[in-house]
Amino acid sequence: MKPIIRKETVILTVKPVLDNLTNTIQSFRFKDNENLRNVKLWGVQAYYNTIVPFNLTGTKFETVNKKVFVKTFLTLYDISNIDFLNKAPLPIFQTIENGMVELRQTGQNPEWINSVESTICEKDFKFFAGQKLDLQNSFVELIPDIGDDTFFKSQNYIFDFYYSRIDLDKI
Amino acid sequence: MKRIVKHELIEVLIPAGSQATRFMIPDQQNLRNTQIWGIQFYFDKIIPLSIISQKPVIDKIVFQRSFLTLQAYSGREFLKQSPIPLFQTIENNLVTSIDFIQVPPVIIECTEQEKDFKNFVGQKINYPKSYIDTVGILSDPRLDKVFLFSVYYTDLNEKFEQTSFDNKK
Repeated sequence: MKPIIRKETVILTVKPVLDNLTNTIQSFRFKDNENLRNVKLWGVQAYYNTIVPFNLTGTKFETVNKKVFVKTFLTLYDISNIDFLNKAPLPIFQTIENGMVELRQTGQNPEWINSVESTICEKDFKFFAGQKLDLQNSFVELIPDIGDDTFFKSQNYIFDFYYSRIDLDKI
Repeated sequence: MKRIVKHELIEVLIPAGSQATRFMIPDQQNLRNTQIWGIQFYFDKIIPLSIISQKPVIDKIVFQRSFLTLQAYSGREFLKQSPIPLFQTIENNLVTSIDFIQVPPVIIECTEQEKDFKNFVGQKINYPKSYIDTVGILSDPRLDKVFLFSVYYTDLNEKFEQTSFDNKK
C-alpha cells in the first residue's frame, strides 16, 4: 500500500522516429517539473490507454497503448547522479487491473468482432526508499517495432510520482 | 511488496542453436558487493524484448523449464535450482482462450504468475558463480534469446543521499 504524501502527475509526450528501418532504441528525457525539485521519491505509477485513456493537461495525444507500454523501460537518477533505477520495465509500475482475460472471437455476424485485451498488471507492488529524485536527468527508453505504425505517432506516457518535499515534509 | 532502493536489469544470453543446458550469469559491475532484496523474472508475454541487447526474451515453454541457482560470497548456494516462475509476479492474461479471428484459430496463452511474492534478506550474491539450468536443450535454432530479470538491491558502500560534491557529513 502506498501512503500518499504528495502526488504529481507527469505527462511525457513522445514521437518516436522511424529511422533507417532498424529497431533502434529511442530515449526520451523528462522535462523539469517545478513540483518535483528537491523531493524524496516514495512511489511511481505508470498507465497505458486501457487504464487511463486521456489526461487533464489538455494535450491532444492519446496515451500509449499496451504494445508500446511493454517495450518501454524507465531509468531514474537521483541528485548524486546515480541511476538508482536502471532500465526498469514499465509494467512493474502498472498495478491497476482492468480486464483479466484476453478474448478474441467472432460472433454470429461475421462482421462483428469481439476483442477484449487483458491488462498487464504487476501484483507485487513496488515502493521507493525516499531517493532524492533528479527528474531532468531521468528518461524512458523505447524499442519501437518498425512494422507497427502505432509506435511512430505522437503519444503520451502518464506517470504518477508519489513524493515528499525535503523542505516541508517531515518524512 | 518490494522496496526499490536500486534496480538493475540483467540478461543472460541463449545463443541460437546452443546445446548448453546451463547458462552462467555474467559479472555485473554494478552488483559487486551489494545486497539483494528481490528478483523478478520476465518472459515474452510480459516483456517481449530486452532493452540491453534488443534480443527477444524467452517464451513460456523455456520459462517453465528453467531453474535459478544463486551462490553467495561465502561459497554457499543458498538458492538452489529454484523454478524461475517463482519470481514472475506480473499478470497479463488470466485464462487461456482462442482467437477465432485468425485462420486457423490461435490459442492465446494465459500468463504464469506467482501469487506468494518472495523477498530476499540482503544476501551478497556472487553473480559469476550463479547460473540458470534448463531441462533439456531449449535454444531456438535460428534466434538468440535472453533470460531477462530485474534485481532489487542496496549498496552499503554508496550513500545515495549524499550529493557528489557534498563535503558535509
